[in-house]
Amino acid sequence: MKKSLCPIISMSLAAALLAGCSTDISEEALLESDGTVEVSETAQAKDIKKDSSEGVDASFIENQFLDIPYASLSEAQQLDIYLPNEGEGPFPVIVAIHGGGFKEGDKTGADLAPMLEGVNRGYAVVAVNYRLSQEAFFPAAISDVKAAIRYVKANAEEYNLNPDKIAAWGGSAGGHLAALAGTSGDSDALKGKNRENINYTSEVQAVVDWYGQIDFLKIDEQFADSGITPKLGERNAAGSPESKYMGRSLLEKIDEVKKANPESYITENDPAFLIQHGTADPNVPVQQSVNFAENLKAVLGEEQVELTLFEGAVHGGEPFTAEENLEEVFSFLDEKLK
Amino acid sequence: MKRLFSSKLWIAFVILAIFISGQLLGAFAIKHYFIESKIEELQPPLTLIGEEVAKGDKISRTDDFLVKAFDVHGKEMDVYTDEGVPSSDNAKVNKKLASYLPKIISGKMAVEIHEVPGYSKRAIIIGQPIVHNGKVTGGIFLLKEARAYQAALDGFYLVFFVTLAIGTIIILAFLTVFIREKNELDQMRKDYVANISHELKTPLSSIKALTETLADHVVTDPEKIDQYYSIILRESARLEKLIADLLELSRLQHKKVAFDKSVVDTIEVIEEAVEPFAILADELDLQLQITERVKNLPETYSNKDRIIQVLTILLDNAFKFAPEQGRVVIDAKTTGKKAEIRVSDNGPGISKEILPHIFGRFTKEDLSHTSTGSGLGLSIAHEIMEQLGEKIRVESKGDSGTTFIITLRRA
Repeated sequence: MKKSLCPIISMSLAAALLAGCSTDISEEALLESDGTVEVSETAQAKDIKKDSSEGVDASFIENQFLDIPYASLSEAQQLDIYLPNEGEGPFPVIVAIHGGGFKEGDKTGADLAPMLEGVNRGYAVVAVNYRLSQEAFFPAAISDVKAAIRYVKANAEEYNLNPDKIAAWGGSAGGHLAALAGTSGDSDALKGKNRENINYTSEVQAVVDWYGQIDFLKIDEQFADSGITPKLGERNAAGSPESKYMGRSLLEKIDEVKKANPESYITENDPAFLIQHGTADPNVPVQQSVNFAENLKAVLGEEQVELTLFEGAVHGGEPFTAEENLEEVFSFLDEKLK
Repeated sequence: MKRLFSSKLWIAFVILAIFISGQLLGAFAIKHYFIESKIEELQPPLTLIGEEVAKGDKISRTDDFLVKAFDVHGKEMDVYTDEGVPSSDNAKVNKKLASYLPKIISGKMAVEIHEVPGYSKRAIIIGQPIVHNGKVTGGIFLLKEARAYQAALDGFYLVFFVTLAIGTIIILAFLTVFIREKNELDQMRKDYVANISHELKTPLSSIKALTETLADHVVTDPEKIDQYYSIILRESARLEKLIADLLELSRLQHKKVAFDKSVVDTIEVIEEAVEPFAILADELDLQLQITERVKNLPETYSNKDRIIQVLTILLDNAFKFAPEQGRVVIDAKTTGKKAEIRVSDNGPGISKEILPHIFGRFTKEDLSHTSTGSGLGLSIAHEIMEQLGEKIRVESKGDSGTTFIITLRRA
């Protein structure tokens, strides 16, 4: 009997100490992770998924030119042109770039619904497909987007488009491509193997970047600093969407990754930027947009760069697509393109 | 278990682990409660200030705490109406606070107790985003010196160390006693095995020697042969009794059998136990005396058969040690809730050295191999009384005989 006395004493001592603090730990955990935010996060994420599988409703648009090939390397290199039902051209152009982590998504996806709204506001919308990461690595996707912009410029007359008033607008991976197309418009880099309309530049006059990745290499670090649990795991790892886009794990391609960073091409000639991001985004850290905006402002000036951070918003969903925000986006575009 | 305890290192390790975890958990708990109370106290004013700053208003300076606001890029925003004294420390404070910005902007409110270079060695920092119309435009921080926290922590360490020191001393004292007791128990066990082997060997040796002699047909005298046989028989009987007693004791000690208790006529029990000894007394020329007080004993609540067994052992013992023409007395005493039965002899008594061990196994005073009996009788009696919830004790005054006393609960 007495043998067991000592461990019992010591264990009960330890247990008492533990018990005294166990409640604290759980409370702390609750305090840190705000339950309500997480619930709405998953709900919103589901909505986004559901929407994209259903596709966008473009039936209200009378003038549609679908599946126009803008280059010849792949079936994927097609774009759709939607023109306003009313008004006379040439129309300013919104080049709409879908998201999907570089590996999925389509020019008819529901994530392009906000851009198609432009048709009602006097814009021609050009929805672009680009080669996904299963088919080709960087710089295939960006070179396709640039080729599409060149196609718009080259064929502006045919479709009644204004080649001098073009905006690039995309969300997530689309945001990245829009931002990269925006900053690299005056650069000869990233043209890839597309040779179509090579005499035209791919410069645009405005960029709307919705929660796009900017500096791939900093994603992991920024998530750690923000205290947000990343949804897609470690991004430097080989399996991440960005690594698949680059063709290898990010750390093995640091120089290439720098070429994919829109910040590498910032010059005074760059277009106006509207950058919008949710502060609780678990896919792309909000700090990507914060830093990008800061770097842009340093070169372009405060007036040319707008940064909107939606409190508690995640990767897409309500605050971005809300009537109120679309009003803001279009007033930005109106100011730059009309 | 044994090996574990023999290692003092292990004990030291446990104490150290308790110490470290206790210290960490204690400090953690203090920090947590302190932060919680500070959030309660400081968050409402900070939220108010945050709302004003978001609207572009400014606030007046207070001595209670310092407020700093930054835009999302970490550029400081003016929050106070007056200019304040710009100091070189300001940059250091801003650098520290800006490092919290990514967290603040992401909506993870930061509350920390941390050194803020240029402000305080230990300051509580509460940060939250500046939100205007659902849009985050920056982060706002409230800084306050955390003197109470340091005091609470100091107090905790003091109390903790003192309590720990006392606790360690108590544990060590326990351990010392425990180890000593364990060693004694070990020694007893060794002695027991030695004793029992000796006890078993003695009769066996004589049986073996006598049987060998008989088998060799060296002895031819029939009378001697008969004598040998009777010795073998006696020794076998002794061996048998010894083993039977051992088994009985073992049974009693291993299976804690609960004896059925009932109201027992104590006088009848004593008479029943004494009966065989009355005849024996005549044969041995001993005087067996039962006092008047025995005849006045009240009824008791116990187990009849077991009490008879114990009395038989005690009487057997008394008869063994009473000298020739000696005297064995059965006396009684009744007190409050208890009745006592006392069995005394006027034998040589038991020496002081042995008296405390009299109920242990194999401690028959001289382990005299000449007398019958296993030496386990008293152990068995002790075990029975213990399991009945009663007491047995012994009194002996040098050479004036021995008295065994058992108590019984009155019905």
